[in-house]
Amino acid sequence: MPEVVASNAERSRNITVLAWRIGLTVGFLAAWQYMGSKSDFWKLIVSSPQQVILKCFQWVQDPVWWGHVGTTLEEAILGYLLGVVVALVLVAILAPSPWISRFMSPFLAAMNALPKIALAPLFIFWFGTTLQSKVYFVASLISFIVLYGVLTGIRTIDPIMLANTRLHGASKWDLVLHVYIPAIITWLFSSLRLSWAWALLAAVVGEYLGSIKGLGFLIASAEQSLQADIVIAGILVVAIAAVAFDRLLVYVERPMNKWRAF
Amino acid sequence: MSVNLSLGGPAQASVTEQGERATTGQGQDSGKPATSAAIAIRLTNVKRMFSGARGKFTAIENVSFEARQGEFLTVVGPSGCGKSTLLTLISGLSQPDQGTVEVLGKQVNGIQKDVGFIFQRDALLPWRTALQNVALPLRFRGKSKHEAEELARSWLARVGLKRFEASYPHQLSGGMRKRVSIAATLSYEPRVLLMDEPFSALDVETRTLMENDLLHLWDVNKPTVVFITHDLQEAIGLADRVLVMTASPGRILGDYRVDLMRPRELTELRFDEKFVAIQHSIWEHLRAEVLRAYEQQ
Ligand SMILES: Nc1ncnc2c1ncn2[C@@H]1O[C@H](COP(=O)(O)OP(=O)(O)O)[C@@H](O)[C@H]1O
Ligand SMILES: [Mg+2]
Repeated sequence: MPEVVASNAERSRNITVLAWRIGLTVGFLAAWQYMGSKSDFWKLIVSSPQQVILKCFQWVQDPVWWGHVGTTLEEAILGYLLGVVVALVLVAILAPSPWISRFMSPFLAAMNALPKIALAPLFIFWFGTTLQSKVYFVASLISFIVLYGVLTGIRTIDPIMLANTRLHGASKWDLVLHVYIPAIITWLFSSLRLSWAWALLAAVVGEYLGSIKGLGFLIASAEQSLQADIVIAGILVVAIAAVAFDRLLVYVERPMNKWRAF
Repeated sequence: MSVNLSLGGPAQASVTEQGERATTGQGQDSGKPATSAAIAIRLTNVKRMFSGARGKFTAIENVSFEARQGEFLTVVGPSGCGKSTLLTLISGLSQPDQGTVEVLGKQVNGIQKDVGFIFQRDALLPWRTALQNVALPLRFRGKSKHEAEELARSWLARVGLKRFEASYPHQLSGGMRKRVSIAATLSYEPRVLLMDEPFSALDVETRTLMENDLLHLWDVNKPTVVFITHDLQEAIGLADRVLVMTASPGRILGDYRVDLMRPRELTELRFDEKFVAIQHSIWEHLRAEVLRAYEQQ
């Protein structure tokens, strides 16, 4: 039967892909380990997987290190939440009034195109090397990503679907509940996922530029004392936090996508 | 797809009187005779313009006609002549630039609760099941959840979709989605039903079955129907009256009474002598307009 053949072929393709992934990872780690052990110079600039893992084990047992992680996560999460709330408030103001939306759209496009990560020094300048400076910086970035994503979602709503629902007797509030919100959910989640990666990045960059706590601070000071293992281990931790929350969002969104064809 | 509403059996259509007649221009007189049934829809000298890339563009002008309560009116005309525009005006989705539109005795200035609209394109909520899509208009009208779902169930059964209550629109065929739309709109029993080429995207067999079903559903509450189509056979088969529109800018070219007996069996009707005669006489008028529209492109 053709279907069985197809699924067999698919399975063997999946296994091949998995084998390649493992092979590449092992090869990469081996090459890295080899580079790091070639000379003291190389050891200094690239460290080695062994050392990074050792560093991570050391850290896990060190409350001071957990303090740094906590600071970074706190900044990222607070900034993220603040940014999302600001974005949703702006959506609630902009979306119902086509006139304001049209008026604002070139400004929004310009601000969206801005390399906003370069604004980090300004926030340090305005709010000092405090927690707030990072939270506000993260929030400013996140609010734009989410605002832009959700407004795009609203623009893609089929006007016939809206007209049909109005003709069926929907009030303004019914429209929000039954058309607008379901229509933007996908856009909201994709911008939430995108912006979480940016939240972590922005928090670390903010710390890197000016702070006395957090993973960014650890990385900055390790850089000065030429400790590549700390820098790399720090990046690893950020990556794990990024992926973990991203998976959570995917998991939360999945049941909302039952109605989709693909 | 099950079609539980068609009567089957031989054609029941026969012709009492050869009643087609053309009235050029306004077609005003057709609704007037002694029959005192109330006027459900009245358009008077309606004009609708759009501002496009090259200035103002007149979609329809000088359109006047009336539809009596319970009348099944079909409108044919070449594509782009303003048929959809006409329906958006009656529905209250848009306003005329000149003239007046009255529905059920009131001048239209917005969406009305007593009017149903079936769009040409799919307009169901993709994130709601068939049952929820049919129940929502009832919920919007203040029915309890339980009551709305009970009614929605019975309407889905009436359009032959009992087994598909829990399906999402993407899991249904085009014809089934149209049935859901029809059930959703008929469930709140609008007194005026507007349909914009509802079956044009369906294959011929499905279409004839659905036209038959539509006539049976219509027979229950007898709403006033304005049914847009560019298919003359469909227009005659369904209608009490056929309005023919000119090529753009759209005006009413002719107004024809279709005196074929009801109930009709559409699969048989197409071979009926009177049906063919009416079709011939309307086509004579329509042909010139179709050619004119074609040359405009
Ligand atoms: N919203 C609109 N803006 C500009 N032009 C429109 C709009 N809606 C319809 N038109 C134009 O008006 C004419 C009639 O359109 P329509 O009523 O959709 O025709 P039909 O339904 O008979 O095919 C067409 O030329 C179309 O391009
Ligand atoms: Mg149309």
